Order: sequence, then C-alpha cells, then structure tokens
Amino acid sequence: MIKKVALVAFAAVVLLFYVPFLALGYYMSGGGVLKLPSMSMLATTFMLALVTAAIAIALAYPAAYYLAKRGNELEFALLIAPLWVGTLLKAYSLLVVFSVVERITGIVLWGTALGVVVGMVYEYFPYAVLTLYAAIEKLSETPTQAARVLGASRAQAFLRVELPLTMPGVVAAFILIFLFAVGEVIMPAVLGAWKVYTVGSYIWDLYFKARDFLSGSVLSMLLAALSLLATYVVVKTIRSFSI
Amino acid sequence: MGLSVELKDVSVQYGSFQALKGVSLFVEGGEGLVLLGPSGSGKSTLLRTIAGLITPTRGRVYIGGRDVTELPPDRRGVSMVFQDLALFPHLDVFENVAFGLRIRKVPDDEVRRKVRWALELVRLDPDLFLKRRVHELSGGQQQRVALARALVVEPEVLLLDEPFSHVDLDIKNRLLEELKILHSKLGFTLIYVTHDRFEAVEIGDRIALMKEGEMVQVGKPIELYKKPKNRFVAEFFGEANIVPTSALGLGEKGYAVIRPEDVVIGGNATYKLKGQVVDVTFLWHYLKVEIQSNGHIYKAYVDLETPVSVGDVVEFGWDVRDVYVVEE
Repeated sequence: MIKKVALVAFAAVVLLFYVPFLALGYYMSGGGVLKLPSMSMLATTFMLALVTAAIAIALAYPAAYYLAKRGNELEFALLIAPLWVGTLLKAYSLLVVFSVVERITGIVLWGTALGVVVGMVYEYFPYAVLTLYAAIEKLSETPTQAARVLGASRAQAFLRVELPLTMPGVVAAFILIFLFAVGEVIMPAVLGAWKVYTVGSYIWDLYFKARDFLSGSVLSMLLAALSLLATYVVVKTIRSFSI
Repeated sequence: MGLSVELKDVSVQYGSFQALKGVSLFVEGGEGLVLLGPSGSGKSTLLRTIAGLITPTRGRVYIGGRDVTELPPDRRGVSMVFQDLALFPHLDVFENVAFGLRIRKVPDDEVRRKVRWALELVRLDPDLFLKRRVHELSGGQQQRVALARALVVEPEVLLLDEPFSHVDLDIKNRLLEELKILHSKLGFTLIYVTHDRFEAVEIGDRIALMKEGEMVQVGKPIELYKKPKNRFVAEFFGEANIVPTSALGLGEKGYAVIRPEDVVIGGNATYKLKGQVVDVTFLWHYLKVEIQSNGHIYKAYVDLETPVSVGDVVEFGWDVRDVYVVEE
C-alpha cells in the first residue's frame, strides 16, 4: 500500500517536471547554453531563507507556547489569519506599511533585504506557529513538573526539558519554512523591488522576460534537487533527535 | 531525619469542582504515611499540593514547621516520583539521575559519585545502565531510575504518586520491599499515594483514607481495620459484612461491621443465623464462603477443611464481641 502511494507520488513529481526533463535532455545533447546563477545570488537566496526561518521560528515559539498552554480559539484563529490572504496581496499591503514606517522613522524597507525578510517572516510565521503548536501541545506536563520538583526554576525547566523535547517541532518548522523560502519569488520581487535578487527571481526572469525556457527549467530542477537534499539532511537530523 | 509535613485546612478548587475540602493532616518527620482512597478522592491533588505543583485556594502547607504555601516547587526541598515516572526521554540514565545535582551546580566528580551511589541504592548496576536511554529500559528498570533520580538529592521528604502502578505484581512487590528498606535506611519522610489497600499496608506506618476530597480517617492500619469510622472505611479497608443494626436487633440507626474471618460455620457462635451456601472459593490458606440469609449475602473466611459446598443449608454466626457498630 505504502509502496504504491510512494510510486504514485513519485510519478506525479516526474510528470510535474516533464518540461524541465525535456529541457535537461535537450541541454545534455548539446542543444543550448545554460545560464547559471551567480554565487552571490545563491548566497542571497539561501541566507534569506535561513534568516527568515530562524526569525519566524523565534517569534512563533512563544506564540505557539502560549496557545498550547492557555490560548483560546479566537487567539489561535487571529495568529494564523495571514494564511487566509494571498502572498501577492500581503506583499502589496506591506508596501503601504513600509511607506508609513519610512515617513515616521526614516527607516527604508522597500527595496532592501530587511524589507524582504520582514515580508517573508510575515508570510511564514503562521506555518511556524502551526508546526510548533503541534509539538508543544502534545508535550506531557509531568517531565517539566519533575524538573521543577528536582529544583529547576521555571526558566531552567524550560531550557533543559521543554525546549529539547519540542526540538523535533522546531526542526520540522525549519524544513517547512526553509524549503518554501528558498523558492520565494513574490516577496523579493515586490518588497525587494528586484534589487534583492534571488534564484527564484532569476528563474522568473529567465522564463518570463528572457524566454530562456532551457535555463529556467534546468535551474528550477537544480533548486528542487537542492531542496530535496536539504530535506534529507534535516529529516536525518530529526531522526537523531527523536525519542 | 526527615522533616515533618503539615496541612492545615487545605482546599483546592478547579473551576466549580472542589478537589480538596478543608483537609488537615500531620505527618511526622521520618514517618511513612500512605494516602489511600478510590480514584477522584483527591489523594494525588493533596500530594501535588505538598510538592507545590498546585497552590491551594485556602489553607496552609508546612514542611519542617516552615510555611511553604507560597513557595514554588523548586524551593521546597522535596522529591517526587510521578505516576507516569516523567523521566526525561532526551537524556540517558546518567543525566536523568544527575538532573537534580546539575541544577544544584554540584561539581562533576561528585555528580558521578552520587549518581553511582543512587543507582546502587535502587539496585541498578551503574556500569550497565549509565549510558542507556530511558526508552531502552524495562518498566521495572524505569521505576528504579525514577526512584534514583528522586533519591540522589538526598531529600528530607519523598513523595510517591502511585509509582508502581504500571509494573507486574511480582516486580511491584519487590520494589515495595526495597522502598521500605530504603525508607528505614535513609530516614526521609515518605508520603505514598495509592488506591490499593494491599500496597498501603505494605508501606505505611499510618494510613490516611480519603474520599471525595475529604480526609475520612487517619491511623495505624489496625485502627482503620478494627475501628473503622464509617461504612466506607470498613468496606474500602478490607472485606466486611455490613448489616443494618436493625436487622440484628442492635438498635435502630447504624450498621454492624463483621469481618469475614470472624464468621464461623456450624461452630459455637454467640449469634446464630441460618442460610444457604451460594459460593465457595479456594483462596490458598482459607475458603471464602458466601451464604445467603434473609436477603443478605454474608462472606465468611473459613478453614480449608470446613465441609461446605454450594447448596448446603448451614448454621453460621459470630461472637457478638466481634461486631463493630458504625453510625453511618
């Protein structure tokens, strides 16, 4: 049963990459010039994804913790509400916020890496909340209580018991956000004003501006492969964490 | 020597549910006290109140004469073994046991020495078990680790919340035996929660019987057995025949408590009844006989040689001095 499902899933992925595979074959038979992204572009992309995942998790952990311990349904709904809004809409409404921030504080967000990070964190925060909530909610209370009775303060019990026990949730949230963020196009395009240039933007440009389907396809496959690799590494890490 | 524990008029309220209704209790330093009661009687709540995991809505808690009602659990100097053990699954046996010492910033070599000492106390070979993960251990071994983790900090008061409820009877009996030895050897005050009266008499110098958030009777096992305060104590703490006194001509109000071992069949009883045997069960060192008489089933523990079988009509009874009357 599971083998069949896996096979179907694999077939679906292969079909999805039908055009890229053709492009790859075309390239390998010597039929085109591949325009690879620059190293700095790759670095920007991965740094953005890394920073986004880290900040989103750091912000979501306390929120998820609160929700799991004593939150109500309304607070839960409000915290994950951004999921209801499309990414493009979120990006444009953030532009308005950015101009207000700029007028008041003088901090320029539009067209900067900081602005892009703000947008991406805003976008992926709900995913982090959901994933962490699941991990924290199923945590049994007694190990923490045992730590308290053994002399640990609230903070010590959290750092030595609760946080390590919810680590699988942190890692899961990290994979999820990192994978999404690596392929991000809209936030860097709108909020970065094409000045913060990622592999996603590059693929977009190759497809829709340069009409270079060959390079676009091959690059998207490369990005997918890198993502798969990252997933593999992180899943292995989770296994070593798991109890 | 262990510290005394005292509760004065402690109440705990969960929303509209009152888990403890003004309970008072004094446990002497070094004593072994069992909190006994059916589920929902508030015995675990009481234990958690002593540990500081629950703050009472009313009343005070004293440990060693010091008012600790407002103190958090980490500043009460008690140790606790939880019902689900609550071992730390992300740590190995060594770090589990060492937890309390690490928090107290004990130097490394002393941590190693004390962890070995604690594991030897609970009869786990340190060389075999130190590096094991807790999920690799059997149920009985996990119990021992939990006990070692609680003992390593050399507590003055040890609280145990049905610690042996998940192991086989044989292992449970052995662990109880060892806990008893540790108690007399180390001298801590021991407060043990259970719903099992057999466990209770095994470990308790005194027993505190609870029901529906109230303390019903506190005393030595024999006091609870021979002089139960009411029907509930008589029934919960041992087998009993409970008959309205009016049926035996002993007064209008109240109930007569007659222990099954005091019921004799065919012998020289000072109070006699006639009935039909409805069940006979072999219980190793005695027979349990159930006799129906006047719409009531009487239980009798009799000698294995007693010639009874189901369907017999027998004369049975008891010495009137063995009847204990309770009011409610």
